[in-house]
Amino acid sequence: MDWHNNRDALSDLPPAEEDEPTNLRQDIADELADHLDCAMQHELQESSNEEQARSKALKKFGNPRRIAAQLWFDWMKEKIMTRRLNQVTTTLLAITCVAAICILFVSLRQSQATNLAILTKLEALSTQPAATLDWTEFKVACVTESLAGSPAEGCKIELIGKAINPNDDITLERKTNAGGRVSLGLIRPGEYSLRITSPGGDLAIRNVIVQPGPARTETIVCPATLPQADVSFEIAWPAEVLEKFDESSLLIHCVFLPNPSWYSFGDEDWVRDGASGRMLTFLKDVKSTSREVPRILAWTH
Amino acid sequence: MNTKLIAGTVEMLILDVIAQGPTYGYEIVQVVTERSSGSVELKEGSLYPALHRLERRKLLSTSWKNVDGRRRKYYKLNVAGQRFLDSKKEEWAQFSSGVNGVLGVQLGLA
Repeated sequence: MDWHNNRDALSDLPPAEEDEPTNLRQDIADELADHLDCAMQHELQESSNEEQARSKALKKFGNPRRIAAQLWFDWMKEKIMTRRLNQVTTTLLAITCVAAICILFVSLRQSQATNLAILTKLEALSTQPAATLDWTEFKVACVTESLAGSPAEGCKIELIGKAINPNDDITLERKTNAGGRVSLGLIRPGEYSLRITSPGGDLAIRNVIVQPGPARTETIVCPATLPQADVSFEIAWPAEVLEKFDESSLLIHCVFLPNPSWYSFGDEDWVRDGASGRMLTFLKDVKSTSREVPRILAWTH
Repeated sequence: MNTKLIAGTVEMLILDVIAQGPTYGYEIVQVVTERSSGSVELKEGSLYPALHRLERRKLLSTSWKNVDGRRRKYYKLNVAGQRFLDSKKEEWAQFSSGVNGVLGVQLGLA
């Protein structure tokens, strides 16, 4: 019997591998066939029945397909394991790369979101200067008589002083509105004097230190504007004057002096405008304010 | 003989047969059976894997010859194989001497 053409022993082998030695399968088949051939020849010496001899030889040999598969695998084991290891390594590498790309993408998105949030905040900060560190919105509220008093409209507010950085001289002048309020706008940090002139002409000075931070409002309690009153003079001209001049041609000069010239009101010391004296010229029956005490300095005609 | 007892010595037995001169698989089985008076019978299922293992470890050189119109693979012991065989024989001598010694004592006691 021709064992060499019997490829049955190789039927359990997997498909040929790329890195498989060219003659491996044929060598295995030939070696096993030669063995079986020898064994059959040996059996034929004892029995002339070829079929019986073949059967005995095969029985003694065992399963040629199993042995062939084992021999093939033993030869290919190292290469197969190396290839599988390479495949696993490549797969892991690919997974790692994909994961790294995903992480990078996610972190990039997060970074973009963070940057966007920062930009939005910066934008919001730029539109809300009061919240910046370099400028502070400075407001003044004036009320009459007490903190619960009515708004003092028409108060003249002057801010005079020096900013810290840059070291600029600053002078601002505003008037309070109907609500008794006025904004002096954005002020740099520094030491300033706030001069308040009430509608009645009273003057007070408050020293303020502007610091970085949110908008600030200074509340000033102003004295009430004294109402105007009619002032009438009834003059009894001295006889020697009347002897010289006609009474209808005579004039008087009055200086109205405040009394007192300064006083405390609210948190401020107020100085009355015209403390240095104000000379007014009156004709007879002229009206004037009643909060100043007139002092007749001279008369003329 | 118990195959477990043979398993540890298969390579040594094969190498020793091949050490006598280039030979092939079937002949190795026959020589082993003959030398052991039939007490050691190498199965093909363990012979060829062992032969190929020794070949891969470069302890054997191989060649193909055409015999009666068919290819036959011959195995030949090389220098490395001879060194390996010598060390295996030495190990076996020590082991069998030890085992015999133990068995001799036990047999003596019995």
